[in-house]
Amino acid sequence: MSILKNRRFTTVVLPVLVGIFLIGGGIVLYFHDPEASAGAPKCWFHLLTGWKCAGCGTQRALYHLLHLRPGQAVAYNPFLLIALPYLGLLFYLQYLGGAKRFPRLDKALFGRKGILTAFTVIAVYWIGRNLVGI
Amino acid sequence: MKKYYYIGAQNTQKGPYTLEEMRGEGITPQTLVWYEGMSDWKPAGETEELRCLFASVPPAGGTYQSTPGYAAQQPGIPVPPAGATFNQAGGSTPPQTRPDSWLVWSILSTILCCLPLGIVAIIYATKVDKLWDMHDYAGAVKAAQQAKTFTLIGAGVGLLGGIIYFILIMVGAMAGGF
Repeated sequence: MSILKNRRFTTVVLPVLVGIFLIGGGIVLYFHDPEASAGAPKCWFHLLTGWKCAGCGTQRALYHLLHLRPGQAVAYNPFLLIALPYLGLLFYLQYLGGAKRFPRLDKALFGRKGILTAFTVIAVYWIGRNLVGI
Repeated sequence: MKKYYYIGAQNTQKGPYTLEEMRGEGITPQTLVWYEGMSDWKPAGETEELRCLFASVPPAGGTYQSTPGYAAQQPGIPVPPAGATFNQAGGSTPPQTRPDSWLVWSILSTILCCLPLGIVAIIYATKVDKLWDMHDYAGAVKAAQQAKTFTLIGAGVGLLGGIIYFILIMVGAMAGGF
């Protein structure tokens, strides 16, 4: 895994690749309704077990979000309402200098308790949505 | 009187202190310290002069040797090495900021594609902040590295699975068409 230890790879090449992947993926997703396309990636967890994972519906939700239909997006995966702002906040703290401006918030979210809380929320939603049928 | 410095809470430099004052500062063998003659910060437990602060370790009778880095310094008031640089290998130099625990990506990886590997990455992410607070900088860097490795492998496996699925569907569609 020496390539993962290369700083140039992780600070330059990887972000660029992820950026291209996200923009390209966004464009492809905009023109292809995941529900109508056979080639759209499927959740392997759902394929194997028949249960939904915490991320199921994200693709369809993002498709509707790209078409500015937030209501339908939320219907496919309501968890995104919390998850997107949370991940955005983490990203801001870690990569856009937020940790220096809000050191206590950074401490709370990246500390052991903060991470375990987020993890518990994901786990509860994961199990809960299969019981309730969201 | 010889002066000693150390890296305290919030990664701030404390000092100068005399050896007697250092006793009262609650230094642990892992605390990074510097004193005149050292080329860089080092855990107190690994230094000749401060080892004696920890009762279980007998004081070393070793001779004091000045390092080449010190020899080049101007005589007068000693200045601790400034701007400790971030060392990926996790050496003795303390990083300025807590290493990136890849938390954003390990959560995404867990939710979106690779459950088991993402969870391993999250567990490593929880260790980073804890080790950082314990001044175990090398340990924090190592945990962060592990979190990164598992996240990337997880994402890679997920992506590969997606590509294979796509190819199978296409092959299936073509076979069905004929």
